Amino acid sequence: MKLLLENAHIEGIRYYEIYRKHGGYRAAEKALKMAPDEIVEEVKKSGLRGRGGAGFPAGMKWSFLAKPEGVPRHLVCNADESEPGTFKDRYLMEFLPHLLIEGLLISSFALGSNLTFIYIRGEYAWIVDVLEQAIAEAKTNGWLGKNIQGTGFDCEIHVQRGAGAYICGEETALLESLEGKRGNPRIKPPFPAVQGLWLRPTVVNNVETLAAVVPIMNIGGEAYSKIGVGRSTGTKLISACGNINKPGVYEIEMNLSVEEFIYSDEYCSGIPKGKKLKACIPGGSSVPIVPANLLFKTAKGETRYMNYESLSDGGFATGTMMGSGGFIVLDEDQCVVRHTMTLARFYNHESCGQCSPCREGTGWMYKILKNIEYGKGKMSDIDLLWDIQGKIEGNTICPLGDAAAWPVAAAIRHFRDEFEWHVTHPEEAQTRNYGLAHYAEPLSTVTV
Amino acid sequence: MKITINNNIFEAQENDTVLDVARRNDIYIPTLCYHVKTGQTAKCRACVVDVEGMRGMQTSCNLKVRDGMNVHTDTKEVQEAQKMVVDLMLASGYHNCLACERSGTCELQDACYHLGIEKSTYKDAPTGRKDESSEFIVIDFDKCIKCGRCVNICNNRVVNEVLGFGYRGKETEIMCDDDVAMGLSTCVQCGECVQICPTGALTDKKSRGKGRDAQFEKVDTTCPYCGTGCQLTLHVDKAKNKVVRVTGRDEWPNNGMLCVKGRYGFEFHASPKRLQYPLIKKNGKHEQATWDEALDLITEKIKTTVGKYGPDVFSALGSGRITNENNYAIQKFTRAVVKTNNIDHCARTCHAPTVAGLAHAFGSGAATNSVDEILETDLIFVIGSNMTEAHPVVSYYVKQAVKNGSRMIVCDPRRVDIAHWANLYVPLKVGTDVPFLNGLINEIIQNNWHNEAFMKNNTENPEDLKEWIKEYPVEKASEICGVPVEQMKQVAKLLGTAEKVSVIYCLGITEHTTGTDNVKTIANLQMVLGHLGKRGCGVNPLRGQNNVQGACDMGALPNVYHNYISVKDEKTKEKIEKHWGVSGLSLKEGYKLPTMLHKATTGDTKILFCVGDNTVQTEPNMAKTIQEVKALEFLVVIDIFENATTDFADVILPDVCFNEDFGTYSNLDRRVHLLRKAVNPPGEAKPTWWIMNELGKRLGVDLKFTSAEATWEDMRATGTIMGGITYERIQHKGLQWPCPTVTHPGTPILHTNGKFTRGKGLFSHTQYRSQAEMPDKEYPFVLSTGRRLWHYHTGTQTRNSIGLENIFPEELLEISPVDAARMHIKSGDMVKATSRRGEITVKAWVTERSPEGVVWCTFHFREAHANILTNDAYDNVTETPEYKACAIRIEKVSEGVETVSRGFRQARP
Amino acid sequence: MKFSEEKLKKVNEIIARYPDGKQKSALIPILHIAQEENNGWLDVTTMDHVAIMLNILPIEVYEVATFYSMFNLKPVGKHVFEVCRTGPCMLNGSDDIIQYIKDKLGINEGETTSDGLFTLKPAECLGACGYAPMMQLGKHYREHLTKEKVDLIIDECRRNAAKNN
Repeated sequence: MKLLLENAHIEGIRYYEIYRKHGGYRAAEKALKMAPDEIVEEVKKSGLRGRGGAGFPAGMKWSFLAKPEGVPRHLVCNADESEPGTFKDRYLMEFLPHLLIEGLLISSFALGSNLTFIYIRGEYAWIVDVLEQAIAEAKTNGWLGKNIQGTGFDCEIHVQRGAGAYICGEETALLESLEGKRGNPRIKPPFPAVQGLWLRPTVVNNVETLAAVVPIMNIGGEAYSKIGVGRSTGTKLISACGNINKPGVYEIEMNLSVEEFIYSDEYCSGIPKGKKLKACIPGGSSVPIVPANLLFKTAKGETRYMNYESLSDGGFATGTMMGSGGFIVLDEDQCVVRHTMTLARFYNHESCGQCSPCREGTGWMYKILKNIEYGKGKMSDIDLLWDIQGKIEGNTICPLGDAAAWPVAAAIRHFRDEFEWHVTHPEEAQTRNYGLAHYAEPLSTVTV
Repeated sequence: MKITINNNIFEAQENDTVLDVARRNDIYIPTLCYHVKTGQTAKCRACVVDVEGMRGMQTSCNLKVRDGMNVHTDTKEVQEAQKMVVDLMLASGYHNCLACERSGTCELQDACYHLGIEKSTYKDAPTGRKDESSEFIVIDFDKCIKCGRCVNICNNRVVNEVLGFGYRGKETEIMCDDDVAMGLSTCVQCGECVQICPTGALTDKKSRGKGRDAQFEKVDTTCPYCGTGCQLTLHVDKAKNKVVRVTGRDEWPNNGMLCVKGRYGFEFHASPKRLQYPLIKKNGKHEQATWDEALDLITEKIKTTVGKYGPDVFSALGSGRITNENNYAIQKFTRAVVKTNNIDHCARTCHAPTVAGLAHAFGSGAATNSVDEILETDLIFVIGSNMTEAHPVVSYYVKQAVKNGSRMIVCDPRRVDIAHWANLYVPLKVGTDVPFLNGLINEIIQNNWHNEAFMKNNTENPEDLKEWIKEYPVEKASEICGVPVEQMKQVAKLLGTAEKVSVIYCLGITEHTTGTDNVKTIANLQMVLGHLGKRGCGVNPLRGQNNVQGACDMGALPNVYHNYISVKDEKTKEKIEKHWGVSGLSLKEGYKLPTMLHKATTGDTKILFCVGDNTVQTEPNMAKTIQEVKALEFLVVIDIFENATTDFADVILPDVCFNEDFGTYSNLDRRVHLLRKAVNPPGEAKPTWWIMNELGKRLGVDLKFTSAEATWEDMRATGTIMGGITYERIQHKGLQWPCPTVTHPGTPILHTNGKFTRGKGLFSHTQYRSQAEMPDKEYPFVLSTGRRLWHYHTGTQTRNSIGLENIFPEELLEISPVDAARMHIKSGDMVKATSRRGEITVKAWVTERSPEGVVWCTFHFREAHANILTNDAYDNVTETPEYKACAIRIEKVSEGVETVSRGFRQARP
Repeated sequence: MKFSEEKLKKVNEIIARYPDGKQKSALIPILHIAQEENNGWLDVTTMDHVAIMLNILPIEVYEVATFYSMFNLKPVGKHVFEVCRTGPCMLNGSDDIIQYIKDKLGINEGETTSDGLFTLKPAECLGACGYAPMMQLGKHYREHLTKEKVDLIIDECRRNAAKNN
């Protein structure tokens, strides 16, 4: 079942007329006739969870919004999609801009935001044009601006470009950046719902989350909550990449098995050249990597599904996380050490530099990983690495510290002998991207 | 409430953080980014603790206590987490304590010591990157732990807005402006960043290699520069008898902050050029003499001359730069021994109109409110004050207030740097303050913005004012002062509708022929608005020198004894005679400073005592001053250096300076601060009170000056407003007069509850009079004068300290870009400036600070001295010269190498 | 430093988006425009100019400009190749592509060719992981890179440069 990408294949759906012809803005029509609180209620009912990575129930977040007398409130759409492996929001914005704008309009109305921003990563420069074009169309057709559809509700949406900083995906860093400052996350509390943009109450939601408000309005919160399984309601966009035959963005119901997702022709279509699966990072680079033998079945031997609960089954020892839905697949020829090193380099590059454990720790993790990868490591370095990541985790203002620590921790946890092999085989380690293939072995027989 | 730390129960207050409670109870928690002045940033994470029931480690610096909270700082996990952070910081640069300036006072070193970290787990090669480009501060990037204290303090406390964080992640570093070397940046070298840096990343350049902190004696004292009265600590190398470093004390009025002079202008005390022995002029040359020879000669001269011509041929000058005790000593000597009231001091050249004007209006001639109240005001009205240069620490508060939401109007003919922070900058014409302010008052009354109740209940003559102020409609005022009508209305509205207004002014108001009228008009304005006697309001003159307030308080004035007791009152005369044990005190007011000098040429002044007053260089029209000084029969100069005045002295006596004796200064908000002896004076230098005591003895009067404190006590015995201030009470913290009894807490705000010192406030009818010398065809420019950030007075202190002279080595004549372009002058060219009284050759500085037609320079440099040009025209009430306006012409003399200005704010090119 | 008429209009439009007193929010969007107007990099004059436009301190501009990786504080070539090298791109051979570009243009990461035409700037994840390996060139992404495709891109850039000269 597709709720978001249902019409993505339609030629010209990017434009207002075509979007409208295919049922666009019907949800808005409906919502504008409701009381704002009723919309919030519907979203609460839907069980929609934040699609940016943390998975926090969106309706609950909305209900936390402070509403002091006379203080404007704001809705900010987080389109700073920067987590390695994640490119679903880009797809949504590029092909279905009006879906996002409709979602933003409904949400702005529900929350009482007359000035709403889409904070988009600076590199998505051409998408800014797509969005601004769509905003202009929406305005011409009376869906934005003053007295929208005669309701008396005013709303402006502006697209604000970032300028290259992963950290601005963190909501308080995003707000700082939107205020024209360095993207340094703020200490919480106060949370944005109380003091956000310009210290006014603010809701920050991911692109996909806000787009999902449209189908929720269309089919009703109740119906939405029945899709999927358990607390993983509705559909989820998964951006799949790495060593697979059909990388791309897929909308799934969350009762799909991981195995099916990788091997079915409807989705990733298996691994190129018939290679074996070695490991997978199912939720964007920050979530723990899991080896093939723990990917399809949980430690208890149950089938693993593509949803919040199932993916994290077993905790960090044997499980991982749903995260942002950035699904990265590694085949048997990939070196986990090297892959982890590139991630460590990424986090080192993206640390804002405020908290010392993260600023210094990410630097040292990258440095040590580089040494190991290039055959200059010592056995004790692996322990040191383990040590550092453990101390960064939970000891920073924002979750970037955790995000940087987890991939390293998981890589050592599950692939320790590959690290050791790099230390004991410095010559071979220097040959590029050479890992231990045996991790792919136990699953060599799996086919779909 | 109670909280448990490491199984011990402690008392805690609402709003305490866990760190506060731990610190109060001597439980060590390492902190590297947190500082009480820069706040909780929770960035370094070194202060983490474990709290039962809370997930993960918590930063104790920003964790508010809750009743019953159970905290652990000593578990293995906590220690490990703290260690890891400190370990990472140790690894992040090159923290080698062996040759580090900060060793012993370094907070990173402390943390390592407490956590038992001997070496870092990680190894990083030092980059060796240092920035040594600035005069006083070294940045060692290898020792920076990116705590952000310096960035915070530079932007939020001293508000110089130079330091920032550049780049990100591991590359994050502090930078000056757009990452240029500090020496090339807009940094004003206040050194606040050095004081707050937890490691050796920012250190004082001049004290490098001079010794370790532990070997210095720390002496708390008061700054010897401007009138702010900053509290500081001298770090003294006792063996070498030298100050090696200065730090600010966390006490009012400065709360730790200092300016470049206070922090780095300290070596003058140890200059080899200091006067060390008495000198007597013999055959036109000064020759070394013994104290006895010198004092006997002076005694003899006084005896014979005064004996023959009477006491009024004797005049003496105290000084705004010497202590209260020494000012008291010289005035008591003059009055009790010589029996004349011919005593005055350099307040005559600066704030005498303040004393006269405010005393007339309110009954007390001093600032009405305290410096710290600036932070609480709603609207700051600055007029005629170049405070970022002349009173930098006051300007920090003003800038802080603006940053925190107060509004500010700056009125000045020159676009002084503080104007960059103003909501409104009003350039009025030189010398038009009276019509400008009267226009504002008129507009305020027209719009009913005045405080009718205050005027009615608390002033004597409100109806008079309302009547005569009609002479100044804004249109007319605007025409005179050159401020557009609309802008005047805007200012009036801001003033009239603000909740609290604090007026801050300085010499731009007083150093005019209409100085006293200017001050009275300001008093009128605040009485009309009713912004007196309340916190965050008032009339607040910024007294220029370290003790110019005190010199007035001590009675170094021709009309009053110490504590403003009139000399004309028979009763007080008797009281004082009784206490001093003398008779025949004069009931006649003495000569004011200019009169003393004029009378030299007619033979009516024969002997002049000059204590710490470089008269020749500080009076206007230097050629005339020299004539007058030359005409004296006998000139005695007591000072710490030779200067332009000692050249003419018959006897020169070596004085002690601020750190060589005890004493007190009174600052610009009437706060009496203690000075402590830190080093021994050079050679045979003696304090003035000793000299006066010796002379008194020789002339048959026991002045009872056995020590500085004894001198103070002698003053206190008949002191009124300062009677309750004892040395003991001001050991740690100054006291603000009036403080009549030893249990009185001091008075931060004058004239509270609408009760003025004189009873009811008095409005004065002030009228516009133009400056004495208007520009004309022959002399088309207006020359205004003032003080620079880097120098003080005639340069005796600043030019004898290391570094200030390198930053600002010579006088520059500031000229507007428009005039410069017209005359083909560029920065660096030499120009000749000529007035009707003399000429100087000086380098030009083309700057937008100067408006068209106005040029500006100072009297710091003997080589190119403003007072050769300035006009000896005086305020009609106080005889304060019009330093702020005379007419000159300018000619280009030669081409120079162009100096390029940088940045927005320019304390130098 | 001066903005063209058209860009100035855009700048004012951006500034007008924010409530009164919150104009600092326009800083990053305006720096983007300023960088476009200044041959792809920000010099001090440009940054000071932006500070004046927004009535903020120069240091506030410098702090921001140095923080975000898209702002260049040194001159760059006419065409900047920002090749992603993070995880997913690495898995798909971005290292080979970077090496190929280095060899072909004779420059290292962070360097500009002597003709001022090309700069190679290593980039971290650009959000195109499904289309790896990839690079950003100006406003757009070039995806599914191969050595042949890199050749074509370089030729295209050279042709454009020749045309414009």
